[in-house]
Amino acid sequence: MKVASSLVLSSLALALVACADREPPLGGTQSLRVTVLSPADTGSTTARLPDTARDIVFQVTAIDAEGNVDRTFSGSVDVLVFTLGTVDPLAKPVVMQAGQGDGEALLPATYGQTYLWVEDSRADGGRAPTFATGTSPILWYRDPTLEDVSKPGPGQNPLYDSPLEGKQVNVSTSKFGAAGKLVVTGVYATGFTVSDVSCAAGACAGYPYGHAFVYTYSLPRDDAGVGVKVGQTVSYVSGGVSEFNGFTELNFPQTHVATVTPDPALLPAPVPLSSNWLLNVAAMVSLEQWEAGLVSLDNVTVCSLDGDYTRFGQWKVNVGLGCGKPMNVVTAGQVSGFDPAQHVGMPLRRIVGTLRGVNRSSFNVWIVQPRNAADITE
Amino acid sequence: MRGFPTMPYIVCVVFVAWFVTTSAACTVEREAPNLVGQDIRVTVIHTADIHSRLFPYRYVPNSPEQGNGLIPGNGPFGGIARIGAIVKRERAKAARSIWLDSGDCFQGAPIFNVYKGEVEMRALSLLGVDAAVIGNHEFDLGANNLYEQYVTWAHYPMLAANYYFEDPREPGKPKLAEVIQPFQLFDLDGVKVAVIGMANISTITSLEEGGNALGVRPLDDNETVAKYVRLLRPVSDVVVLLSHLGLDEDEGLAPTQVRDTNTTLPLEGVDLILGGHLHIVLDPPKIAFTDRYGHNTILTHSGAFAKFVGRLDLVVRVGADNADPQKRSAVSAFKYEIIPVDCAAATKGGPCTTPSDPQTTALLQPYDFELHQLLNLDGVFAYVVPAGKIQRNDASGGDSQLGNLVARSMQLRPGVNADFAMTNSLGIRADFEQGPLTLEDMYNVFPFENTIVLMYLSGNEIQETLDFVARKSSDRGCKTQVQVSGLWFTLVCGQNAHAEEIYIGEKCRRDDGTIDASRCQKVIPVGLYRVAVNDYIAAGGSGFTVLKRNTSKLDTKISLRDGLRDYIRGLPACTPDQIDETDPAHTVVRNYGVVTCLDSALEQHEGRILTRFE
Repeated sequence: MKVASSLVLSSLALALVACADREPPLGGTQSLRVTVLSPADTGSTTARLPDTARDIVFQVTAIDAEGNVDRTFSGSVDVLVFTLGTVDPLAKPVVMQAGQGDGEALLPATYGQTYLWVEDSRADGGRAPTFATGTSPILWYRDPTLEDVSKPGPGQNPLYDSPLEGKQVNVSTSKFGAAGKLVVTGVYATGFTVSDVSCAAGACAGYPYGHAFVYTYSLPRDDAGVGVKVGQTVSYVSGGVSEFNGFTELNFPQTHVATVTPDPALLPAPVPLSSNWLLNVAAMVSLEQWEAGLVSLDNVTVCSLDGDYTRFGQWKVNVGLGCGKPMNVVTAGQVSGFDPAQHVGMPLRRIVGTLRGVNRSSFNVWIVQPRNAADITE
Repeated sequence: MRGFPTMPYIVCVVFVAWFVTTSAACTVEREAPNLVGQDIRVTVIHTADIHSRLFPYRYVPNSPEQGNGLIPGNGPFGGIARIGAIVKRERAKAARSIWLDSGDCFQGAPIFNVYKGEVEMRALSLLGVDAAVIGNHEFDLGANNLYEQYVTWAHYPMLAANYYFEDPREPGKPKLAEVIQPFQLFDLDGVKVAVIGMANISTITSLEEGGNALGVRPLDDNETVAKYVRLLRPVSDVVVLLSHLGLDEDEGLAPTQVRDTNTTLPLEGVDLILGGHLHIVLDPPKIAFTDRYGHNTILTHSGAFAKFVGRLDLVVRVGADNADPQKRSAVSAFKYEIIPVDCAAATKGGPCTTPSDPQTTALLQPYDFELHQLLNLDGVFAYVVPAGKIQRNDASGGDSQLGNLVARSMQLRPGVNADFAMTNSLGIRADFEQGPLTLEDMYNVFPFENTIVLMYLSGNEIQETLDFVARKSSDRGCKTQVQVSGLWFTLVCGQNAHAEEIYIGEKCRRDDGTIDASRCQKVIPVGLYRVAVNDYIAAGGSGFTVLKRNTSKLDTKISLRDGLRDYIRGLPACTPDQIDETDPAHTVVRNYGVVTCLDSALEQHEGRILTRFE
């Protein structure tokens, strides 16, 4: 014991000797304090701010190494907003005088934990930046729904943009509140589809844009290792929003299966696709609304197989507009016992599946992905 | 569940003494600032899986990489001297910064095969990396090599809290325990940052065996994290897990939502996980966990092969008492940027305008010179014709063109002449890009010094092996985890993954995907088959236990890389009028002499491995 204590003391002594050089105390602004003046109440996990509470009035104060206001700080600082894992530029800079400045910002649509982020990171009139930064108290907005993830915002391309592309989302609530559920509608080798449904009188229904594809890369399992199955409900699904050739996906996801035993009654009825929706790009917005949702094609004819089948496994059906304006179907690797080559020129009464759009760039391809052999009725 | 070995008291005291000494020695003595209540910005520079890509290299970025700013026209990519310039530039734009590396700086380019990690460690030390965690490839040349390279060349802490090292005083045992630390503390002008190393466990199969040659016993991840967080949280403003566990394992440290508040939650108290191993970019970072006090654990990965440098700016709200979960410091918000390591402003064929760190360039120069003397890395021995590339992965998830070519070169190697060949898909690390194929490219495709192993397997053993492959492939998006030649089968993915319709022969499948039994032989349970595999899976690597327990193995010592090169050299040469697509004004023969042409028809995907999801 004595030996051990001596070792510690000796080490400490050595350390003190080794670091005999003293440096002057830290100087200058170390941080920026952001005080929200309005709204007076910034919300909480249980009491979220309304979507309309976007006008933020705030004050910025420069703080030095002693924790005091640094009145030597004058210059402009940038204002940004942190929401869903990223920081975006926001308002005009705040001009600080003698360590203080006032600002006002109109927030875009933000979700969940949101902060105003203020930083001094640009050379400003010959003044070197201090890199001092500060964040506001949390501004608590509601969490996003599947519709918030999928529905293009104002000014965005209605066929393939997502307002939350590049953000990390955690969808845990239904648009319908307690009456709604997040239901798994399709399971594939690399992911699954989930829809926001409301159920009444024993029937469940989805709504436009209330769907998403969750790209798991591997066989879909939840965070407890439970295999994801059609008809299960999930309590949440989180991931990064991306557009893969116009198809909205949640990447590197995490999810939790709420009801392990699938309940087919929770599945929304497939939405019949109208051939009119394929007529032109403008009409295809109707298809985009049901992207990743459960859909059906009724009374179609299988077209001749072409290079798209060889390269991508996509075969085509005539939905009434001829094989020059077809709807595509993918069954390879998913539906056993059905060979489209054996059905060329023949009618199919019904094809059910989830809808995938490949419509970024010059593509305008829509693909129905049946989930199993029962989804195809000859 | 594995327990922690008990450390003798004296060892603990010596450890504390060492910790106090090193911590104090690393800290500039100055009056401590009063940061309590302030939002302090801490900039974390993150690299991972550099994989010996110390020199810029030719490569066509894939779609997700392009989404992250790696544009095909901006190559060549990577290079440690460029990383050095980027790191220095970014650190100059930060008041408090730290550079952490998530491991696997070893293996992936010929410089590692020749210098065994020396240059990687010298470069990282010269550039001032603050700490790194041990990756699985750091053990590729054994624990003793890692020790020798580290003590000779490295000047930064290498971390692994979840490894228990055998007694280094025991003769013949590795000495890593003397130099590897579980964690390191940093003082960034008053902000205390604790970095805990979480080394890889899942990929190093031998770690599961007691008394393994690495002298490493893996410890339970959750217990390890919980133990060190208990130790370090009270004295730290930021707790970082520097991980090479892999994304699933990082996420597995805690569920996103707390369901049982009585359960031990190891991530409680962790602010940040910096991950590696899977070579992915996680941008934006995700919230992996939120504790009962509302504190978040942020998780990010920053890519691989020296293609990216991650910059993460944290706003740390400094608390009054880090021992009290309610009053401790916490990260409020963060800003992440993934910076491509490219030739951004270069014009085609012109000089690269991205700066390189001059000191690092000077360090590399003699190695570069000697490497080219030894290996003739730029020597062109084949030309890749197809636009785009010859890919190691097929879009169908089944056999790939490059995989077929590799397996064919193993199967038909003179003296091997196997009924079929099989190699693991992940052993093929890069595609053949269109244009001249050099020896350096071959090292990029086959960085490992693997050899061809011959063995005899019964039909039952083949079935068992392929069932395992089906399960493994099922966990990777129904993408086959082996490449074969002379073997045909259907790989069924899903909850009941298995292999079926296993045949031996050539061109076994008809156009409609069915097997033509008149051309091929069905594998029968009691049959005996001559099989060529690589020595990695023959030894049980990646979980191939059936191959591991086989007693008929013969290691031919023929390198896979050399075997493939020899096989390619024996294929038809380019015609005299074949245009060099990378230099359309000239022919291949004019530019490179008479070399083999690899075209799109060669060993193309043909359904040797057909995938199906159920």
